[in-house]
Amino acid sequence: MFGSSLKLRMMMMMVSTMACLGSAVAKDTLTLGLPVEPTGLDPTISAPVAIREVTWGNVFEGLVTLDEEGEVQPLLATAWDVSEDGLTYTFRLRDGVRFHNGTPFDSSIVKFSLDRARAEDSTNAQKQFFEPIASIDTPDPLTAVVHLKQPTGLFVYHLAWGDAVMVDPATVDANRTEPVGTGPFKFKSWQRGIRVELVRNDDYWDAGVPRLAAVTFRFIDDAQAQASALRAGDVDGVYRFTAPELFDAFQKDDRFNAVAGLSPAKIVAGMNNARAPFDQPKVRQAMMSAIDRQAVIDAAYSGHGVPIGSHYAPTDPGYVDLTDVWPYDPDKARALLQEAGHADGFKASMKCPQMSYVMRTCEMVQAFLAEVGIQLKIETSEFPAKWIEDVFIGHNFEVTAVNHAEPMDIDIYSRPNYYFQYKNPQFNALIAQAGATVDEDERNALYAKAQEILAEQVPALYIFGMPQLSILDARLKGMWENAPISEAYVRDAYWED
Amino acid sequence: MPAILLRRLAYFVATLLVASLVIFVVLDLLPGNAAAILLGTSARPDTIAALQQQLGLDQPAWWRYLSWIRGLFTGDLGRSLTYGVPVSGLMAERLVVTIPLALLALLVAVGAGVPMGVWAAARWRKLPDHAASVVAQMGIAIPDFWLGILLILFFSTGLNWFSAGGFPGWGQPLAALKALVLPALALGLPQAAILVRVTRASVLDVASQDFVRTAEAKGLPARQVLWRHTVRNALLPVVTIVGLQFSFLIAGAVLVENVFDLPGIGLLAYQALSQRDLVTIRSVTLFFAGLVIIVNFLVDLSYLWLDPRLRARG
Repeated sequence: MFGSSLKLRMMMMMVSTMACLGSAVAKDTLTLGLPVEPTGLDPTISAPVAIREVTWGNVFEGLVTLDEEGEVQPLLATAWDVSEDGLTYTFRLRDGVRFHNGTPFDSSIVKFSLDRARAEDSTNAQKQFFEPIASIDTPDPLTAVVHLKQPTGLFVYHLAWGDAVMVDPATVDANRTEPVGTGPFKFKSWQRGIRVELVRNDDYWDAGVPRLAAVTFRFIDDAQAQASALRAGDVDGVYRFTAPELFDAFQKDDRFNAVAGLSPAKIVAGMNNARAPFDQPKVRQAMMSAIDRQAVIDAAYSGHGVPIGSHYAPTDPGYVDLTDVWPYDPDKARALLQEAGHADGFKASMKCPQMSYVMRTCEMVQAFLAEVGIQLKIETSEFPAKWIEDVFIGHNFEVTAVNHAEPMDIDIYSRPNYYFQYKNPQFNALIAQAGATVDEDERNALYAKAQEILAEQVPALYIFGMPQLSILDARLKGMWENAPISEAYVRDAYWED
Repeated sequence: MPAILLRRLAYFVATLLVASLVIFVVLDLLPGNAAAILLGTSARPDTIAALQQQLGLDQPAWWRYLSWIRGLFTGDLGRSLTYGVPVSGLMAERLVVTIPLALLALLVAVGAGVPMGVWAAARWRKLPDHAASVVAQMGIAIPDFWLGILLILFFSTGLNWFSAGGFPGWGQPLAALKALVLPALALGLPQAAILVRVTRASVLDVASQDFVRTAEAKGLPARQVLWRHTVRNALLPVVTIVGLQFSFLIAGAVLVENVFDLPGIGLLAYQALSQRDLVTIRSVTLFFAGLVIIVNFLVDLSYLWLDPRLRARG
């Protein structure tokens, strides 16, 4: 009783001092909630997706970019030619571009940025993208000529990634905390644990862009807190909303525009292909046939998500739907197990990261496999630290499940010591060939073949593509529905009058 | 007194040194390393090795330990492995949220818990006593983070009186204070419930002693017997609990901080641990250890103030 009267008194005191904020004059600022705070703001030195969300296309720009469908588009390079042999790329650079600190953008910047990424001591998380580069010539300030050691099919595509953005040599050491790029927004401040504030770059090369004067990214880790912040009007939207079970309620609410778009992230239950019985394709195929992907999606992500049949996201160029290679068929699964000599099933352990959607995926996989006699024992593996040490580096696992967030990462199956321990010379040759094919259609045909091999061989159980859930104020326009590279791109955002 | 203080200081430094060694060894044995986490699931071993070297993780353990201890004395706690900024600044940014929050919550706990406990004891086995028991029972049973969610549902999304979470920074003092009100209630009320029970039990215990009966027999007014003789003597165990609660409110507020999206030191500790940012987590943990020692010391000092007999002995 005493407690509640104290509560009441404090509340009344607060209400009387509350200032009336948030008036209805034409709005030109945006406060966007994001689930994860980045650890730094330089996408060229570390991998976490959260860094791209804040900076990709907003603060930093690369020679090229991706559009909402994941297609490569010109950005700081207006056009490029590829030589007949696929070894020389000539980029024509945009004139009149300056970094936020006034440094002009020219071919010397291109040479510096790419040389830095491929240097011996480079800590670029995607260093392999830059290794095909042999040398870079700068015949004039607006032309950069990149010579490659071997034809590299996805070279230009990879230049659209956050890891390949253009940086000013003078600010590389400070970019981690005070990023300086060429993008439509300038970095203003970062209150660690709370928010990053960006303001309009008035000297942006594309006149009329951006339309917003300021953007604030607020970091809200807890899914309930995201929903509360939306409902209380603390944020104008949450991009990459992490509470799928609350998503439907927002969809029914007229004040919000709740969209389930596509993302490059894939929930994949990897198996240790070097260990019995997972070294037998029939066992892996049986496991895949035993799983009803849609039921897993319903349980793990409230029905949002796309079933996948291979290690390829619907936003990746050249995607093929292969979910019908091993459709849900428990009888077939039992038959395959019998052919493999495991008619009575077997026991194995499954190491699962603690995130709720992965855990629920694991529990569904466990339940479906139990139907055909395979007993999985789920062990929690703290993600990222313990999982990376134990599974990713140590290969100390039988079955696992994790969210593979990178776009176009099918090549990991051809890496000699990747954690799946999958070895298939035919697949490796195909990936190498695709990697060296410059023609897009030809390349996509090769990647389609690679997808088919994985779908058929099942080195990992392909469960679903994660949706890009965003809940935005209904009047906010110009935000992407899909997130082809896990970004939170606000360049074109504006408020409808 | 100075002799006591000096002895206390020596004890303080020695305890912290032992604690630092334990913290360092335990953290070093944890699986996982910051470089591999920062570079993600596409990085190759040579890139991870390069980053480890850059972060100084390839140095031998004894060297890293000694440079940490040296840093502690010079005030340089090193740079966070994940954020890349000085740890001391990172901790200061968080403490300006956590310490005011803990103090507010303590105010709620003591302000509500102690009077209610005294009241319940004074009306022993009467309606107020029973009511206080029920309320206290509920308060102890309800987890603080869950109370936080209820407060948000009611006052933020329902009535829209408060933001649902977040912290505007002390640049706007009123708004900052307002952002701490609901979390302080969520943290403080369950602690208040504990204090109700401790205070009530302690007051009842003292009230049955001879000197209280003597005071009553002298014909002192009931109010004076209660407040001057009984409550003052009953405060010793209460102060001990309050001391423990303060340490908990600083270090253990992480769930409430999470619900209210408050950038406190608890959340920093949690994030640093999950990212294996050992440089940050070791100093934060040592800070917690130091805090507990200091609060215990203050509790001891308050005994001297509350109980003149101890002063005479000291």
